[in-house]
Amino acid sequence: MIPARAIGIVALACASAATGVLAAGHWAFQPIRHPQPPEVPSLHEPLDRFVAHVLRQRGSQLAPPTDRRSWIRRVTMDLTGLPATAEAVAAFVSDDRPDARERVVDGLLADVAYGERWGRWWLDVARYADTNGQDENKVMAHAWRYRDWVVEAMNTDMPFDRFVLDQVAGDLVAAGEPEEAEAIRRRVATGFLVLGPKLLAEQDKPKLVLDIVDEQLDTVGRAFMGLTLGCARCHDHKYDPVPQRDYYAVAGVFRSTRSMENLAFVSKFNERPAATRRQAEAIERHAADLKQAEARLKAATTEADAALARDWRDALPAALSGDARVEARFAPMVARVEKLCSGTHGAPLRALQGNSRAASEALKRWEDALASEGPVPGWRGGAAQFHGTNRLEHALPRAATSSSWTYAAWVQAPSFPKKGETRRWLVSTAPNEWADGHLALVLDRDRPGAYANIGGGREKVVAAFGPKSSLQPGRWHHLVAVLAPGRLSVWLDGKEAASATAPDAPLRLDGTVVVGQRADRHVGFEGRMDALRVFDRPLSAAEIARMAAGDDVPGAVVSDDFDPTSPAGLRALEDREGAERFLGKDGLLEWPDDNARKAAHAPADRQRVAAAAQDLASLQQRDPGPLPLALAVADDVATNLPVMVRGSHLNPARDPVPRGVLSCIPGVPFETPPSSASGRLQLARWLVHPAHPLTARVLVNRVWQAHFGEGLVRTPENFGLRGEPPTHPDLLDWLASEFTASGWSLKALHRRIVLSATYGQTSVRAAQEEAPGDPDGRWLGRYPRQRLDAEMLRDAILAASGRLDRATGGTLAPWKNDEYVPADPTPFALPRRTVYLPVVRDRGTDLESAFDGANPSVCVARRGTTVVAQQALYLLNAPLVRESADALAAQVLRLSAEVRCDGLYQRVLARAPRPSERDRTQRFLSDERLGTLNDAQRWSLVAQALLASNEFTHRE
Amino acid sequence: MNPFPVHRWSRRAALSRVALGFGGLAAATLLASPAGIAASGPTGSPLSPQPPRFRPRARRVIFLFMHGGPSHVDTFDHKPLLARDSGKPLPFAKPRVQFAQTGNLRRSPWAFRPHGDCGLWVSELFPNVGALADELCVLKAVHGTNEAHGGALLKLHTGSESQVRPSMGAWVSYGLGTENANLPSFITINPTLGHGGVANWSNAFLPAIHQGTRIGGGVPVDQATIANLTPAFDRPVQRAQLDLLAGAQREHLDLAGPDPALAARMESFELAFRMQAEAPDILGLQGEGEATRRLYGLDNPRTASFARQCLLARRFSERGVRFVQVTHGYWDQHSDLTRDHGRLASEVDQPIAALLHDLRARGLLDDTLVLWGGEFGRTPTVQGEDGRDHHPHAFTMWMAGGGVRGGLSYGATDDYGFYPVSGGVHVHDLHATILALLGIDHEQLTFHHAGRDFRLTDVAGEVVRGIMRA
Repeated sequence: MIPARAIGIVALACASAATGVLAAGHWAFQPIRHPQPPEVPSLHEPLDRFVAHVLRQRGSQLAPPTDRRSWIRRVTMDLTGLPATAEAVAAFVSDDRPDARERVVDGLLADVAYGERWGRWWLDVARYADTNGQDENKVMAHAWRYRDWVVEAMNTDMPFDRFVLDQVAGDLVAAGEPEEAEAIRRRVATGFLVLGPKLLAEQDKPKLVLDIVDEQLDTVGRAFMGLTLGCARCHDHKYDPVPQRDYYAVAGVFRSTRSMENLAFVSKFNERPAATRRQAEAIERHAADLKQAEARLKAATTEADAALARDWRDALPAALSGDARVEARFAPMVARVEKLCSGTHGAPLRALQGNSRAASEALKRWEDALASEGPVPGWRGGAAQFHGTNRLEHALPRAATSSSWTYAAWVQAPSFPKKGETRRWLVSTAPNEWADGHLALVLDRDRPGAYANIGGGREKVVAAFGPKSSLQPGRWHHLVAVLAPGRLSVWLDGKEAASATAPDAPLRLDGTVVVGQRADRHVGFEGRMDALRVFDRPLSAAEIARMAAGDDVPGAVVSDDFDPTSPAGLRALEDREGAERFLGKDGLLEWPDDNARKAAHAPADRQRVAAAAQDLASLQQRDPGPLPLALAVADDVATNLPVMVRGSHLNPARDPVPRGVLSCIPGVPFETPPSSASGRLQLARWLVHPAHPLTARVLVNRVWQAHFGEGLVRTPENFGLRGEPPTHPDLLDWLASEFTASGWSLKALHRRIVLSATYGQTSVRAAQEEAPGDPDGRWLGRYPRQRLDAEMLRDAILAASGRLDRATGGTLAPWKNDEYVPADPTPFALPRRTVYLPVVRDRGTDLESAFDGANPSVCVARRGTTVVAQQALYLLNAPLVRESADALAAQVLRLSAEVRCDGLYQRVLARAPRPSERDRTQRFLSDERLGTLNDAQRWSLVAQALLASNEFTHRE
Repeated sequence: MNPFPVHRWSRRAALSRVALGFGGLAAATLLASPAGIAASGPTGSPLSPQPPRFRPRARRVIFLFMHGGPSHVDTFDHKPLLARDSGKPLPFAKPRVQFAQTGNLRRSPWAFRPHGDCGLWVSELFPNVGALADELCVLKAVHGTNEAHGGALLKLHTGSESQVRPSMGAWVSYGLGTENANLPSFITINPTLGHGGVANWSNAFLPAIHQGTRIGGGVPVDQATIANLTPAFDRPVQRAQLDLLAGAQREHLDLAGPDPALAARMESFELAFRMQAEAPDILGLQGEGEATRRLYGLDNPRTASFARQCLLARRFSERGVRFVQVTHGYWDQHSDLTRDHGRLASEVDQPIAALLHDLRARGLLDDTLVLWGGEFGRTPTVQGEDGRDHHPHAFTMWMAGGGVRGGLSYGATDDYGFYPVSGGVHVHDLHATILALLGIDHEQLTFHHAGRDFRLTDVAGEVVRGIMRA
C-alpha cells in the first residue's frame, strides 16, 4: 500500500551525468591549503590583506574605520549578544592606550555572556529544543544539560575538534576519562544525537528507527560538513558524489547506536544518568531517609488515629443504649470499622452521635440487614453483594504465570446496563482499559463481555461480547472469560458466546485481582457474585461446561465462595465509601479532612505527629532532586545495514554495507571499527582529523557569517557541488588552516576577526556611492549593517531597560519529563537571557516567528533576515517591549527634568541625543494628540520608539 | 507617500534583494518570485499578485479542516454492504501497519439517503450540507500514508510527515501572492497546537512572509486574535508615536547612507499601523446583519463557535486573503462514535452550509475553492464497542466552488469502504489538484533551498482533471 516514493527526501531535478567528474575537482573536497597572504602596504593582519587584495583587484579598497562608539557597540553585541553600556562606551572612547581594543575584546571573550551568545549560535545547527515537536510534542526535560554543556564549552574555549568528538562519541571516550564529572559532561554532549524531532507515534517501528538514523546522519552532515547526506537515502545523491552505499555505511553507525529508550506505541527517547557516584549516593541516601521519615509520620498518625478509633468504640455502648444483645450484634461491624481505620483511611472523627436521628437510622439499617436479609443468598451458600461503590481484592500467588488466563464466576443482578449506560466491571487486573497488559470480565448491555489490552507496549485492545439480551435480570448466570495465546473468548452458562483474535502477549500482573469495580474505583457492578475462580491457564470447553453444571474445577489461583456467609452490611464495610454509604455520613461515621482529624488528636499524639511532620518537611527541603538524567546515546548491537532500495525498509538489498564514512573525502584515514562497536568513535575521529577538508572550513565559514552577515561561502549548509563557491577561497583556507593550527580555538578566531581592519570598517555608505559591482557586499568593502537576531533583540531590550536577569544555566521548563507540552507554556515572560528559555518545537513564540528565529526542528546554518509587519507589531505592542519601555520611563522620571532625554538616550543608545532629537522629543511630549496621558506614559512612548528604532535594532 | 527622502540608491539593485508588500520586505535570502512565474506588480513584492501559469478556476482557498478524522462511512461514503455484513469479519486482509487492532465490520448508526439532482448519498449527520449536494464534488478515495494524527496532519498540510516542509497555504501564498497588502496572505483560524502545531502552517524554508498567521488556537474562538495586534493607546496617540519614530528613522538613515532594508523597516511600521485598523474590523464581524448571523448559526450555542470561524473565513476571503484554514475538532472517536460524531456534525453542518450559501450569494463561490476533510477517515471495522480507529487507506474529502464539478462523486472504495478501488487520490494528488485549480502547475512551483529545488508534491502528485469544470 505504501509507495516507496513516500519515504525520505527525494531530489527533484535530473542529475548531471557529469557529477562524478565534477566532484573529483570540487574545491571543498580538496585538502585545506595554507596560502601566503598577499602583500598589501600598511596592512599587517593577513586576514585584511586577503580582503584588501581582492578589493584592490576590483578597483576598490577597505572603507575607513568606524568611530570608536560604533566599534565597541558592534563588537560587544557580536561577542556577547548584549548591548554595550554607556559606561563601557565612555571608558573605551577615552582610553588612548594602544591596546585598548585588545583589552575590550579580551574582556568580552572572558565574559560568561560570550558563551551564552555563541552557545546559542551553535544551538541553531544542533536543532536544540526542550520538546520533541513533530507528531507527539513531548517534553525532553533533561535537554537543557546539553545546552548548558554547549555554553560552558564556549566559555572554556573547548577546542572545536574535541567539541565535535564529544557530541558524536562522548560516551565512548567517557569510559577512559579519569575524572568522573568530566566523563559525565562528555556523555551529556551526545545529547546532540538525541535532540532531533522524532515521529514518536509512527506505528511502523522499523521505519521509525531508520527515520531517526536519517535525521542524525543528515544533521551530522549539515552541521559539521555542510553536506546534505539525507538525499542519498533513496538513491545516489543527485548532485554530490555521495552514493547510496555511502549513506548506508554511515547509517549503519547510527543504527548501531541506541537513541531510543523504547519503541512503545508512543516511543521514548534515550536518557542516561548524569550524576557522579557521590551525587547518586547522596540522592539514594536522601531517598532512604525520606522513606524512613515518611514511615515515622505514618506510624505516628496511625497511632493517633487508632486512639481516635478507640474513642469511637468506647462511645459505642452509649449509642447502643447499653443493650448487650445489641452490642453483640454490632461486634462484627465495630471490628470491620476498626480494621478500616487502621488502614489507609484514618479514623472516623464524628463517631457515634448518641441519639441523633441519623445514627439511629444507621443502626436500624444494620439491624434490618441482620434480621431480614440474613446472609446474602448466593448461587450456592453465600455471595458477595456489590453496590457499585464497594469491591474486593484478591492477592495472586507469586507463582501465577501471565500468558494465559481465565476468570469464572456466578453473577446475578436486578438489572444490567442498558444502551447508553456505562460498561460494568466484574473482574480485572489493571487500573483501567487503557493500561497495557490486562484482562477484564465485564457486563455491557445485557450481555457478558471480555476486554483485553495486551501486546508488548502497543495498545492492542481486544474485546469479545456475547449476544445482546442474553442475560436475564434476577437469574444466576455463569460467566467465563478466557485468554489463550492468540484468542480471547467469553462464555455464558457453559457455552462460548463470543471470541476475538488477540495478540500473543503476556498480561502484566501487579499481584492483585480486583472484583466488583475497576481498580480506579469506577464503573462498579451492582449485584451479587458467587464462586469466583481465577486460573492462570485457559480452561477447556469441557471444564467450563462442568463448572456451569455446578462442579468445581481444581487448580484456581484465586477461589472465593463468599462463605461463611456474612451480612450485607459487613460486605458494605469493605471500604470507606461503602461504610459511609451504609452507615450514613451524618450519623455514625464521618471521615474528617486531615486538618480536622489532626485537631481531634490527643495533645501528646498531636505533638508526636507534628514532630514527625517537621522532620519530614525539613528533609524534603533538602531534596537533592531526582537522579539527574541527560539525553544521551550508547552503543547498541553493532549492525551493518544493507542498501534500502528507493529508501524503503521493506525493500533491503541483499548485502549489508560495512559501517564506514564517505568515499568522496580522500586522504582522511578511517579506522575500521571493532566488530562489536558502533563505529561512532571512528566516525568522530574521521570528522575532526586535521586533513578533513570540510569540518574546519565549514566552521570557520559559519563564524565569519555570524560576524559579517554572510559567509565567505554563502551556502553555509551546503558545501557540495550545488553550493556557492567561496568569494575568498584563499582567505577561507588560510583561516581554516590557522584555526586547526591554533588548536581549534574559537576564541582565537573571534579575536583575529573582530580586531581586523575589515571588521572595523564603517557601515556608513556615502550617499553618492553606487556600490559599483557589489550590491550584495560580497567583497567586504564596508561593514554590513545587520538587524539583531531574535535573541539579541529581546536580550538587548531587557538589558537596556535594566530588567535582564543574568542568572546562568539550569532549566526554566516547569514540565515533567516525557509529558505532553501543555496548551499554554508560560515561562517565556521571565526576564532571563533568551538562550535559557525553553524551546518548544512547533509552538513558536511571536518573537521567533516575527524575527526569523531558527526553526528548532532542523539544523539551521543560516537564519533569514526578513522585514515583515509582525516585527513592527511586536515592537509596538508586545508586552515585553511595552513593559521595558515603562521601566525605562520610570527610571528617567527619577532624573531631573533637564537630563531626562539624555538619560534615556544613554540607556538605550549609549550616547547623548543630538539637538534635533532633543527638540523632537520635546515636541512629542507636548503633542496634543497625547491627550490626557501622564508623564510616565509619555516617556514610555518615547522609550519605546527608541527601542523600536533602526539604530537600536541593528548592529552597524 | 514615502515618508523618507529617496536616495540615489540603485532601484534595480535594491529590488533584486528586497520588495514591499504585506509585512513590507523580504531580503536577500528570498527569491522575488517562484520559478516559472514572472514577477509582476509595481513593487516586485513576493506577495504582489502573481499571474497564474495556466487558466485558474479558483482565486482563493478555504480549507475546513476536521481535526481528528471524521468517519467517511458514517458521512459521505454510503456502504449498504457494511450494514448487511455488520458483525462479520472483514473478508480480506487488514493493512500491514495499523494504529490499533479493530474487530469486525460495523454498520453506520446513521441512515443515508440520496440528495439533490445528482442523487449523492449523504448520512443524516449532514442534512444541511447534504441539501447542497449539487454543489459538492466528493472525493471518495483519498488516501494518505500515516496512521497517527501527527504524521497524518503533517502529511496533509505539508506533504511530508518526517521532513520540515512549507504548508500548502504557504506554497499558495508563494505562488499567488495576496490581493490585499494590509492582510496576511495565509490565515489559519483556531488551529490545533498539537500534532505538528506550527509546522502545519509554517513557511519552513519559504520566505517568512508566507507563513500562516495564526488567529486563536487554544483559546475560545470569540477571543481569537492576531498576536500583538492590539495597541495600548488609541490611534491618534500611536500615530504621534509613529511620527516620532519616523523622524528618528529618517535622521538615522541620513547618517547611515542609503539602505533599502532600513527604508523597508520604516515602511513596515506604517503597514502594521494599517493592519491594526483593518484586521480587528474583520475579526469583530462589523457590518454583518442579523440574518447572516442566524444563517451561520451564531445565535445557537451549539453552532456559534464554528459559525464564527466560517464567517471569518468568508470575511478574510472576500478581502483578498489567499488561503484561509479553519479547524474544528476533535473527530477522534475511538469510542462513543454515536454520541460524539453526532455532536460534532451538529456543530458544523449548518455553518458549513451557510458558508456555501453565502459565498454563492456574494458571487464568490465560483472562484473560491472550499475543501472539507480530516487527516484521515475511520475504520469500517469496530474498535471496542462503539468506536472506529484511524483509517488513512481510503477516506472522503469534498470540494465545492472554485471550478470543480458540483454534484460529482469521484472515485470509489470497496464494498466496505476499506481500500480505494477506483479514482484514488493520494494526498500529493490532492495538493497537485488544488494548485492546478488555482492555475499553478505543481511541478513548476519550486523553491531552491539547500542545493536543490523543492515543491509541495515532492516527486509525486497527479492532477485529478476529472473533477474540473470544462
